[in-house]
Amino acid sequence: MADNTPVDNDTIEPSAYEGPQRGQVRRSRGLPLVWILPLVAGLIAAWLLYQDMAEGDVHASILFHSGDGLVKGKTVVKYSGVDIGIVQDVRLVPNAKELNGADGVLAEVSLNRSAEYLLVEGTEFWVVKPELSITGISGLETLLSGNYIAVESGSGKRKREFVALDRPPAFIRGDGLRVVLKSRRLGSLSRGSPVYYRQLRVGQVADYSLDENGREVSIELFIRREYGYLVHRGSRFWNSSGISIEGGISGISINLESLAALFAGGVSFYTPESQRQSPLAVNGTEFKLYKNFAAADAGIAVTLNFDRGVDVTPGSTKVYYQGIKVGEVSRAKANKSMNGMEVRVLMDPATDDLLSENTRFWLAPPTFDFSGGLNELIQGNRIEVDLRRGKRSQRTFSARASAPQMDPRVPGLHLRLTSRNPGSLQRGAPVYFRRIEVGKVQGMELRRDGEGVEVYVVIEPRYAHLVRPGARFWNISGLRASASLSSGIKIQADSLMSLLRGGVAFGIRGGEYEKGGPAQNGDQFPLYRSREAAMEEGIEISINLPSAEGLREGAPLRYRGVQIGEITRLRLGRDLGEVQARAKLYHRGGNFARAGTRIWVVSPQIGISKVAHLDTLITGRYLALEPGGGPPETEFYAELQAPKEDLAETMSRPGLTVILDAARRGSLVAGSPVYYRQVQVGEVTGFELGEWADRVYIFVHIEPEYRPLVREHTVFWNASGVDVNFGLKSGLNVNTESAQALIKGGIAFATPEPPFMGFEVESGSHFPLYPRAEPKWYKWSPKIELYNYSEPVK
Amino acid sequence: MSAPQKALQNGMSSCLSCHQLIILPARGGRCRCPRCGASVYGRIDGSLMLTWALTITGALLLLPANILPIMSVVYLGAGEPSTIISGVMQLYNSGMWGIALIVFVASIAVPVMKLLGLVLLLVQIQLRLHFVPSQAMKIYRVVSGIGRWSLLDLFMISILAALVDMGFIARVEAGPGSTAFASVVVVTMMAARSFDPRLIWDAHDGDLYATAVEPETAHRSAAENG
Repeated sequence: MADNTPVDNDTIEPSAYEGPQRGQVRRSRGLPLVWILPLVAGLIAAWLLYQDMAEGDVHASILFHSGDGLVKGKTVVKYSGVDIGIVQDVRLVPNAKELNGADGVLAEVSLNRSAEYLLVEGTEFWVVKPELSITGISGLETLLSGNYIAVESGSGKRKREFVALDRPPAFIRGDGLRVVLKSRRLGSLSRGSPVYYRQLRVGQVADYSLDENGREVSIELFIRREYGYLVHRGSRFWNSSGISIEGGISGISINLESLAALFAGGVSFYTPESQRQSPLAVNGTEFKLYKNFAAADAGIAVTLNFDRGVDVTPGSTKVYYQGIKVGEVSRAKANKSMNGMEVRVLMDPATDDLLSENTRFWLAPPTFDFSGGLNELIQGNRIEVDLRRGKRSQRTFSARASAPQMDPRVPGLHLRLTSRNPGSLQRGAPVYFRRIEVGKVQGMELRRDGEGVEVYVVIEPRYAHLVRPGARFWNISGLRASASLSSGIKIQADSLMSLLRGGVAFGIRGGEYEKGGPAQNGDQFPLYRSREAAMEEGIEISINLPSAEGLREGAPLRYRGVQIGEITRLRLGRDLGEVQARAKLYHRGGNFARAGTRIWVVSPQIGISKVAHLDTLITGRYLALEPGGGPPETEFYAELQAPKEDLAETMSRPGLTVILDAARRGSLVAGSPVYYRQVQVGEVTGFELGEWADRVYIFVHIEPEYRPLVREHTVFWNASGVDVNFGLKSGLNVNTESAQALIKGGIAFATPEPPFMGFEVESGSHFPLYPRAEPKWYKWSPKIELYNYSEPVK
Repeated sequence: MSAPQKALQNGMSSCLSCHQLIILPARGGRCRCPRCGASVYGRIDGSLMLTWALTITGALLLLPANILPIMSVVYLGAGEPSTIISGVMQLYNSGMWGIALIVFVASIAVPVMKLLGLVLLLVQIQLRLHFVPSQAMKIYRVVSGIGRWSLLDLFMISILAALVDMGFIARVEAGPGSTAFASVVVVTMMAARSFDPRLIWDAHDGDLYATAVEPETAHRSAAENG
């Protein structure tokens, strides 16, 4: 295999190992391509070096009054919010010339080359720190990122050394009108305070400074360019800071130009009509800053002619439109003929368009009305205005010395309610429908004949459809209390406001809703005293009472606990012997106005036998009714106590009524129970002396269900009291039918077993009442089939 | 000069993979091991040139690797890119001089030393300076062994970039400098690899170094000997 010929192919021929083997030659491809690598690397390096040289940072130095917030290597320089550089070094400069000899802090900053154009004369640097000022919170981002140096570009020659501002410039980007206000006091204005024109923000306070002589303050205003045309040389500027606080029952409301204006103050301006033609203001025009719009005389002067003297104070009496202050009295004097007053009012310029022939002014006296605001209570009179657009602009008005009783121009449905007595109703009192306020009482007036009051009510337009010819209005002024032992005391007032101002509610009875169309403007309705009076029709009845003790007007008439009417009037009879009551039975109580109806006074009963009607201690007594079945009748006689049932009464009840003959009444009362095998099956309904007074007849009523238990040979005994037996052998033996029988007394009966029991008895049968039971009676145990209680009620 | 006899003088070399003794082809250059198929060469073709080129590349790439930011730590939206040396300075300034030392050694000292070592070896061979071959061999072993450890930095950056990615709160980003740095490491490793340490001995023995070897004469002499 010692073959010298080179093998040109790449295949490897495995062969037997025989010493050193000849390697297989491969074509050498050793190209100096490898030198591309250093070439590329060199290019990259060179390019980077160039970049570093060309795009590297530029350096500048800024002199600060204080190094507060400057951190080496941390504090960045920002322009329009973009980082353009960083503070490289901070060092002290003692007695710096640029700072008038004060010590300064020199910051070396390196800036992006792209920001090099900023390094020119006029460029301003200042430190931005978080600032919580009344005009707003600014620089909040610095809380996270730290303070930074802000830049505002100037224009001029290149420059590398700067002196920083010691506070941020009142920087307002964009151009606009800059005017100067002169004022004695700065007030609450500050840089950034808004400038308003008709409550629209049109600019801001750019800066302020003291005049050279220290007598006045110059306030520089910046008005945005697009609003510049609003400022004439004759414009009036006034300080619109300040607040009016109104305390109401619903809280306190604060009226002001804007919340910012409360703290930061603000400037408003307006150009009076007469100055509209004056030339436009230019940069630097000076104005006087007035205390308020009245002082600025920027208000629209309006003359009000009152037909009589009114108590207004110039500078203090305000003009309100729906609670908003829109003007101020500037002058008041008697008119020439001395029969009225001429009041000059300065109206807010914003009301310009609304001072027309339809606008009305009147004097609103202070009323004890919380919704009107606390101001009103304190300040006394005020002038109210009803601003309305009209065809002609007007500056002289005849004003009323009192609020208009009704103003047909108020949108809504205007109604007249007639009442004998308006109660505590006041102007402005709400009108409720299902406790939703749907309108207001506009005013009220005595009727011409003096026989009542007319109440003018306006219902809001969206609720006007609720008023139908069948609507009933009632007065809800004041409180209504109802109390019962079970449910406690309820005091009802439709709203707290109705307590103070009164109120009117209305409703429509179910069947009457569909009747007729909607009510028309000017419709007249009676105003009822109460809801019941309004909504319940019913029948008037008269009741003669022996005494009205504990009864009052409005006391209810009840049947089985349900109110079916009320006493409307109580008066003494002609002969002073009795009380005549008029009562109204609600329509559901119409069935009670019949002959045979019995009426009695329910008053509290407290006795050993029972405690009843305790609730009347609180709610007062009432009349209870028991309906009769006779022909219609409206005259009744009431009793002072619940009627006792006589025999006839008892007999008429379903079930069995028997009469027990006893020697004495014992402790039995009406209502005493009757037991059979200690089960109560009936009760004692009454008693009376026998015809010969030799005995007592006790009426016992047995429930219909238990009627078969009473037979001819049934024995009755008095189960009242306690039967105590004491014997040596038997011990103590106390025997009573029930604990109830111990107090109220009771009767027990037993029936012998068949065939000795006899037949069932009819009502009215007499039995003897034994004083006590014989022991064998207890042993009787007849089987008696009881009726299922299906007997029809008679 | 009593130099030991060399296989190359007999036209032979051993396969560096399977250590089979191989008679080199007469025209020299590369051939393949008939047993394992690995490339066999008496001396690496153009070893010096290749090593020079790669060494220069590495040295040039050191510039961007140190100028460009290697990574930036963005914390709460703010952060700046840092270069290797600024990172070392930061670590040192914050008192972590141990870590600063490690980073400095791995990222600056090692690549520079490696390049310096290679240059030293190349200059020695090329200019036939008088030197102790055992020391040169030590330099070579250090250079070829130490190379891969420079990648520590890149491991750290890649791990940080993967771990610290909390959106706006904190983020670590690898910068373009890390690419350049990785290139430096790779290029210097390749340079160390392309260097044929046998040249050290050739130079020491006064032999022709690899490019000057005439394989045919060598072969002839081998044949004569054989």
